[in-house]
Parts: sequence; C-alpha cells; structure tokens
Amino acid sequence: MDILVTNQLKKYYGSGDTVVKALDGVDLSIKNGEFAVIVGTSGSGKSTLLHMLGGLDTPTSGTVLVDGKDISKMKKDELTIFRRRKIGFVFQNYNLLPYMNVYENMVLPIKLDGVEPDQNYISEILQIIGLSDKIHAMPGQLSGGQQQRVALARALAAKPAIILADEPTGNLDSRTSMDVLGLIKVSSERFGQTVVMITHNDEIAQMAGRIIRIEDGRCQPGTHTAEDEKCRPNRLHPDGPGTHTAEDEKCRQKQAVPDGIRPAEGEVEKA
Amino acid sequence: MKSFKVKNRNVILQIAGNTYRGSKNRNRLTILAIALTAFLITVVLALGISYWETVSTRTLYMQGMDFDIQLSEPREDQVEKIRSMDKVKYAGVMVKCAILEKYQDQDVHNMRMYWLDDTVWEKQCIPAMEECWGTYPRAENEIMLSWTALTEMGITDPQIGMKLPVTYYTLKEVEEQISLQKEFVLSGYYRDYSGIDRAYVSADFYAQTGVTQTDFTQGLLVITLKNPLYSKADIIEIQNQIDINRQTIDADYETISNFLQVLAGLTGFLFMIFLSGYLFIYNTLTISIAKDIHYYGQLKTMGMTAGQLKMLIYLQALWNSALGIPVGLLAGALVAQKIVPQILSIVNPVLNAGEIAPVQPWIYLVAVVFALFTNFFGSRRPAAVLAGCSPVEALHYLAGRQKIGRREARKEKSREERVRKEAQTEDGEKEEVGQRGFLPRMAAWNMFRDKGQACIILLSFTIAVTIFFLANVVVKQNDAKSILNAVSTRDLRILNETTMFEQKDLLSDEKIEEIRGLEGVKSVSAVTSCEIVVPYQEIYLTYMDSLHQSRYTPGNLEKDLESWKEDPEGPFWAPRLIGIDDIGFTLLNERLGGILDQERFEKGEIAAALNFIDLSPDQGLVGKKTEFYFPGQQEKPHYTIEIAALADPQFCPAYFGGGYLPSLIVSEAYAKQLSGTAFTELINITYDEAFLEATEQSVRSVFTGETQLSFSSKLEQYVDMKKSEDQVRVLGGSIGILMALLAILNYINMMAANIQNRSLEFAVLESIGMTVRQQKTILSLEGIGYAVISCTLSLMAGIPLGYLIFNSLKQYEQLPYIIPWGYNLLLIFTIVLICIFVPIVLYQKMQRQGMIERLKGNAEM
Repeated sequence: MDILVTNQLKKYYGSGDTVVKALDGVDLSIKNGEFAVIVGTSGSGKSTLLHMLGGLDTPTSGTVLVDGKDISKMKKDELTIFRRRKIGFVFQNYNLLPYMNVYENMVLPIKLDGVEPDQNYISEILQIIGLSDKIHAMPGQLSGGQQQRVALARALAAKPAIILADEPTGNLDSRTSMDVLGLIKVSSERFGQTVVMITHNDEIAQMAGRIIRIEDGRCQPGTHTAEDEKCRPNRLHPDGPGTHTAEDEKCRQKQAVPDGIRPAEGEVEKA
Repeated sequence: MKSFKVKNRNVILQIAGNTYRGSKNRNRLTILAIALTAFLITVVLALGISYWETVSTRTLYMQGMDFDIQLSEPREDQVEKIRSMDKVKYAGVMVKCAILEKYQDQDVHNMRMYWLDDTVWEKQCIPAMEECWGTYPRAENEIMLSWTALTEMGITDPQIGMKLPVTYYTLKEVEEQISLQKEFVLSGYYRDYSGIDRAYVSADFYAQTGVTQTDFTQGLLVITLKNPLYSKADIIEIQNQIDINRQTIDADYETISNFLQVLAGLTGFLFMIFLSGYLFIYNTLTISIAKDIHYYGQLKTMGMTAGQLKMLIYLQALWNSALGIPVGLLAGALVAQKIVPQILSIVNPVLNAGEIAPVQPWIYLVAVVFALFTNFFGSRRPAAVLAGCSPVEALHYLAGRQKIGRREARKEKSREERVRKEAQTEDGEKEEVGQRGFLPRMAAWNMFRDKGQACIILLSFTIAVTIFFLANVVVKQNDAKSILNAVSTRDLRILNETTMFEQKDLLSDEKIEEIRGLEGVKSVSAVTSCEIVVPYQEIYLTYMDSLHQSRYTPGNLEKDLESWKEDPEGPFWAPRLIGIDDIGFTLLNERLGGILDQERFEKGEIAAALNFIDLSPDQGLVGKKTEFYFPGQQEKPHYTIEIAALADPQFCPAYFGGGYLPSLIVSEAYAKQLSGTAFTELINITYDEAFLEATEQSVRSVFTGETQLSFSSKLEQYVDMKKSEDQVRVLGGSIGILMALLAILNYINMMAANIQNRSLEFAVLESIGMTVRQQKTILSLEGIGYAVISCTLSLMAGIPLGYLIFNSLKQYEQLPYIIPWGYNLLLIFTIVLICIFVPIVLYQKMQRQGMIERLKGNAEM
C-alpha cells in the first residue's frame, strides 16, 4: 500500500522569465514501510520535494497524498496537527529549540497533542541514541552528532508513521553518520515506519531499499532492477551499519550505480 | 618599526553609509524610539512645568496675596529697615481702616476696608488675582471691590464709575463706633479664589479715618523675600534688627522642608520618566544587536579592526540621533506650545493660549542631551560585545541564548520530575496532560527564559504604570471637589447675620424642617448660640495668665482680673454658649479624638471649652467645673458644668465669637433646656451628593428675599475653582496618558523584537506540530503574564509612593489620600487587552512567510 503519493507535483518560484522550477511535475509513490533515499545534485529539488511530502511547504500545483489524504488541501492548523501525528521530520541543521533541554525537545510534539509521553519509550529511544545521561543537557552543550541524534529522537518520539529526514548526516563525521542511520533503520523496522531521506552520501544511499533520483525538479527513471531489489533487503546488515557480507558485495558489483554515487573501492575493501 | 597612519576614514564612512542604508527598518525603529523619547521629555517637562505653575497660581489665587511673611503693626522705622534689607524683595504696608456695614439698605456683614500702598497693590496683590478690571482707588471717594464683595452686595453687573452709597464705620479706637454714610465710586474690581469680601480704598480716605498702621491688629507689613526658601534663623535675624515690641511675625517656618519634600517628589517623578525613556531607547538598540553582530562579525573576518567597528556603530548612532532628535523636538514643541495651550484655553477661556506655558529653551536642551546620552550609551553594548569577541564568535552570536549553569540544571531537573509526577495517577496509570496546562507553563517559562528582556519589559511597564498612577494621585490631589469636600464637610452654610445684635429668628425650626424635607438634602445641622456670663473663678487663672502672655492680651493681668471680678458682664469677658446637635457633636468629638462622652454631653454634664487663641490644650481647665449664668440674671441660680476638653478655635462650630473667656460648647438640648428657646446662629446643610445645583437652588429659594442671611456654598467655590481644575486635569491627564503611551509603545517595540527574534523558533515549533493557534495562545499568555506582573508591581510600588508624593505635595491637611482606582483600573484593563492582542497582531504581521522561508532565513541563527 502506498503511504506517500505525489501527482504532477510542481513548485515554481518567481514568474515570467525569472521563474525557477524547483519541482516540475513529480509523480512518485512510496510504499508503507519502505526505506527510500532521494539523491540529486545541489539545487535539483530534493529538499523541496521532501518539504512538500511533509507538508512544510505548499505546492504550486499537483497533489500530495499522505496515507490517502490530500495534504495540499488541508488548512494550516489542520495540516500541522496531521503532521505532528503522522510525520517526524529530521532537519539537516537539527532545528532544536535552544532554550529547551534534550528531554523537553523530544517530548514537545507529544505534549502539544495534549498527551503525556510514554516514558518507557522515551527512555528506550534515549538509550538507543546513547544520550540517556544527557537528558537535562541543553542543545548548546551537545556536539553536532549528539544534536542530530536528539533531532532524530524527537522525530521518533511521537511514533509517527513516516520519517522524513533532510540530510540527517550531512554535518556529521562518518562514524556518527552510521550511528544515526542505524538508529533510523532500527526504529523504522521495529515500528514499521516509512523513511524518506535525502543524502549525498553514496554509501548511505546504497543501504536504502530505493533510490529516488531528482534532476532539474523531475524524478529520473528508477535505478534499481528487480534483481537488485532482491539483493537489497530493506534493512541493514544484522552486524550493523556499513557491514557487508560477500554476497552483498556481489550484488553491489552488479548494480548499475551512476559514477557520482559509486562507493570508493577502498571503502568496500575495508568493509 | 615606523608606523604609518592609514587613511581609511572615507572607507569607514562609506561602509557606515552602506550599512545604514541597508538597515532601514531597524533604523526607522531606532529613530522612532529616539524621536519619541525626545518628544516625551519635551512634552512631559513642558506640561509638568505648566502643571506646576497652574497649581501654584491657583494656590496663590486662593491665598489672595503673594507674600512670605507678615509683621503686624509696623512702625515707620521698621518699614524702612526691612525695606533696606538684602533678603527682602518687597515690603508693602496695608492697613485695615474701616468696616463697611451696608450697601444701600443691604447688610454686607462687616466687610473690611483696606488701604494698600503701591508695593502691596502692584507686587503682592495683582499677581494673586485671576482677573482685574479698572484701577486702584486714587480719589478719596473711590473704592475697589472683590468679586465676592460685589456678590455680597448683590451687584451682578458691576460698572466702573458706578455710584455705591454705603454705610461704614472707621476702626479708629474710640469709645463708641459711629456709622457714617458715604457715596463711593467704583474704580475697579477683581476676581481671585480666596472667597474673601474685601474693599480697597484710597490713601486720602485712609488718612481721613485716622487709623494708623501701628494700631493694634490693623496694620500689616507684607514682606516678600528674594529667596522664598527661608528658615527660622532668617526670620529671627530680621526680628533682631527691628526691635519688635509685642508685634508678631507670621511666617511659615516649614518652607525649606516643604520645598525639599516637593523637590524629592518631583525628582523621583522625573527620574522615573527619564528611566522609562532610557529603557525605551536602550531596548530598541539592544534588541537589534544580534543581527548587527552577525554582520559586523563578517566585517571582522574581512579584517576590520575593533576600533573601526566601534566607529561604524557610533557613526550610525549619530545619524539616528541627528534624524530622531529634531523630529522629537519639533513634535514636542508643537504639542507643548500649540496643542496643549489651545486645549487649556478652551477649558479656561480666561487664559490666552499664547500666554500658557511657553516652553523654556532649557527643556529642549535637556531632551537633546538625554536622547544623545541614551543613544550613545545604548550603542556601547554592541560596541563592547564586538570588541570583546572573535570574528567566529560574532558570527554565531545569538542574543539571549543562555548557557545553562548547575543551578539552572537542577531547576530543570526538578521541574521535569514534577511534571512527570503530575502525570502519574495514584494507581500508577498515566493521565492525559491537557494542552491547557502545558501551554500556560510553556508561556510562563518563555516569559523568563531571557531574563534581561523580561526585566526590561516588566521594568518599563511597571515604571510607566506607576507614573500614570502617581500622575493620577497628583491630579486627584488637586481635584477641586476633593479639596472642597476635604476642607468642608457641609455643602452650604447659612449664617444669621443678626446673631450679635438684633437676633431675628431667621433660621426658625419651621424653616429648618422645610429644608430637611427638600429633595437632595441629606442633613441639616443647626448651631445655636447666646451670650453667657462667667463670673470670676480661680480655675481660669492659668488661662488668663497665658492669655496675657500673648499679644492678644487685653492689658494688665492684675487690672483685668479686678475688672472681671467687678463687672463679669462687661463686653471684654462674656463668652458664648454654643449648642450643637448630634451631627455637630460627632464632628467635634472626631476632631477632639473621641474624648467626649456623648451621654454626659447630651445631659449637660460636660462641655467643651473653646480656646480664645491657640494656647496649649489644657490650661488647668480640663476636668474642672465652671459656673455661668445668662446676662442680667446674676441673682438667679448659676449653672455649673464640667469642662471635659479645651478645643482649638478652628474647631469652633459657631461663626461669631465672644469675649476673652472661653466659650462653652454644649448639647443643643441642654442649651434649650437652660434658655427655654435657643437662638439658631447658623445651619450647615449636607446634600445627598456634593455639588447638587438643583438642591442648592431649592434651599436658597426657602429664604428668597431675606437679606440678613449669608450663604457660604461649596458649589460656588467649586464654580470658581472649576476652570483651574480643568487645567490641572488636562495637564496631569496628558502626562499620565503620555506615560501610558510610552509603556505601550515600549511593549510593542519589545514584543516586535521578541517575535522577530523567535521567528526560527516559531517555524521549528510549527514544523514539529505546534499549530498557529497554539503559538498565538502562548504569546497571549505571555502578554497576560507581563501585564499582570507589571500591574501588580506598579500597584505595590505606586500605592506607597503615591502616599509619599501625596504627603510631600500636600497643601490641605484635611485632604485624605485617595487611591485613584477609576483611571488606573481603566489603564490596567487597557494594558491587559493590549498585552493579549499586540503579540497576536505582530505575529500575524511578522510571520507571514512560509515555514521553509522562515527556517532557511534564520538558519544561521
């Protein structure tokens, strides 16, 4: 079942000769529980697409269906409530509230819904992200990686059906990136969440069940074959992120990965 | 190494110019703040001075003469000596030389006739007159009258040159007073607020009367000092130089302490106004720091030195001042010199708009200096921050971002645990915590997360509301109705002018009953009086001795005591028996501190004796019994009554006085019981509501055509005072409104900056699920919080401060401190409304961009 569907989604900025087509008729559908990454060059429209999917921005035309509901027709506050219940958004620059501590940042969306947070679940998330001892810390006291993990924890805390992440590892070192990514995978598998993530990192892109390529505001034809699909289970290797078996490696070799996102040979060797 | 001076002045100027042009919105706000502060200081000072002058003028009009001290019965040598003194500005002589009894056939109730020398007239009387028509009498038959005197004579349309046939007698000391007839010509008349009926006569007429300035109680030397702030030592110094012999110097020895009190009150008031203005400018400059510092950080990364950056900031501050201050001054001048005088002229047509409150140049200077100082002082903070931080720090500077300390961390932890506990029910199940509890908590937390900002908002609001409160206290204090109500408890006093001689029963019981039955009349209190004789008794010896020590002594104590023994019915001794009813008793007993036993007073067992002058309140009389009898009944049994208190002469319920011996105040019932019928000297009437015109008219109509009654009406005094009352209201009200406006603008300014600074936060909150409605609710709750706290603080500060200011500016002892709730509650209500809706409107105006734009636009912050 498709949980995210876009039909002829367009987002234009400006008008006349100066019009910028950030999205120019994107048709896309993402299945429930799918782990998809959006790749594309800078300015290709990745972030705009993600914002549209999350109802953070309004399209010039076209529709966005989330779980069957056309969010482009919703009123502002209706959309906000829908978003806080259905969608967890992870920003590249974290967007944590600087005056709130880790715990308060995490539980804010839940409390806004008038519900008391599930403390056990919160504790579990904190344990997974490794910040149990930082619960009272303010964002300013955390490193970039820790802040990103808090941002992710906030997106997960309300147990949303969909997690949209805009380059969540863009500001992190490779080790922290893998930690964060692992957390997203574990959470999405455990709670059957759909994940759509923007990344520039080839290795991360390869871990996804599906790669959506955007160029000039349009979705490019899919890059996965059925065999690839079989080769690439929608999960990370049980031994952890970045770990590959020899079979995985074979599959990888077969994949027609564009040069731009092909992993470096050395990296594979190391793995 | 040789250093070279780098010629970069032009570059700095160019960058400063570009920066300035690039921050138009921020500059507009800063210029507005500077202009507004300059405007407010100009207007508040100008109005304050105008207000002060108006109140002082009214006090002067009520006194009827402008002077500092008076010397009784001055000799020529004393006059010469005093006039030659350095301390003395003016010294003029006035002599009470005759008493005007009748105009045509109408009794005018012993109107005093004075001769004034040129100094008194020109320097001391004219300044205390609201209006004056005609000239001072020069010819022997000329006369000048006060408006009250004209009213008393029944002249409603006075004409200069009109003939005034009168009956009078001179005050020359003779065995028997002789009434004389004379036709005067009206040379002039005047109006003041003293309510005194007075006639002025020429030097020739004065000379004819034979009265001299050294006659007992008739002559006065009226002295105005160069420095009105004199001390007791100054008076003693004057006294020592003029060889005083049983004369008195009347002076207010409290002038310096009174002045210091007033000065302290005004200084405090001005300080708060200045502080409020300072906070406004400082606030505007401070809230723009964050964005500035990002920009200056960029310049710093490009190699600009701290000194150059400071120059950049101060240049912009200078330009802002150069634009803002003239605008503020011009607007201030327009309001203070044109608009307010026009309003004052409308409320009091006697005032010529051109003559009111010319704004002194120093006021503009103060406004300029203050606005400049505040602007540059406010600019020091960004300059200091820039000088102290590295380029990278500058780029990441965020106003109000706090680093959490251990103490705060502990607070955070306990707060969170509390929230968790609240969410647990007794059986351990989780309870739903509604938004209703969460949002107020979040709002309360938001209010104080930036303590500096919260302090400025609360402080500026509190100060402004306090000033508004204090301005209202002062306005209320000068409210004519309040003054009259405090000074006099009755609305109308009707006095029987025949009391001392003919004793016509003009205020009969029937008339009193008729008045009681009139609509709007609350109570009628009658005061009866008659002459009594007190035979020589030893209990009065201390009193007589004290009396003979004073300047009012009748003569030699031994001789006087002999004379009293021989002829106790002589006119010098006979006191009066004053009868008062329940209302009169309540009032008297209140003033005496409740020492009289009402039951014993009613029965006629006790009386209050009246001091002839202000002697100490015992004189060996209290607790003693005194004998008395009615004139001509020496042979009949004498009456005896215990003196339970010796009251000050100002507590006297009657109008007419008796001889040197203390009059006795007894119950009306007892007075009637003794004399059969008691003669009603006066009645005091109180209305359901003060100043009821219709009631007053109906009371007066009961006595239509009766010329031997005189009326003293609070309403009439109020009509006279009303004009200056309106002036006071306009000026005081304007100051109050301006201060409230300043507070509101300051709040709008603060909230605009606050919402602008929180733009990213709002976008983030919206992205994670906080609806616009929830955001607006939080902002409104923050506003209510600020309003409630600052209004509470301002009341906590305003009530005691108001009391202090009230006491320091107090001119009427009887006037109680009244908290001006009406206007203040209105202001508080307005503030609460503004605090609720301003943030919502600002939010709507400022958060129009889409969420993504706001997230991106603030990404660097």
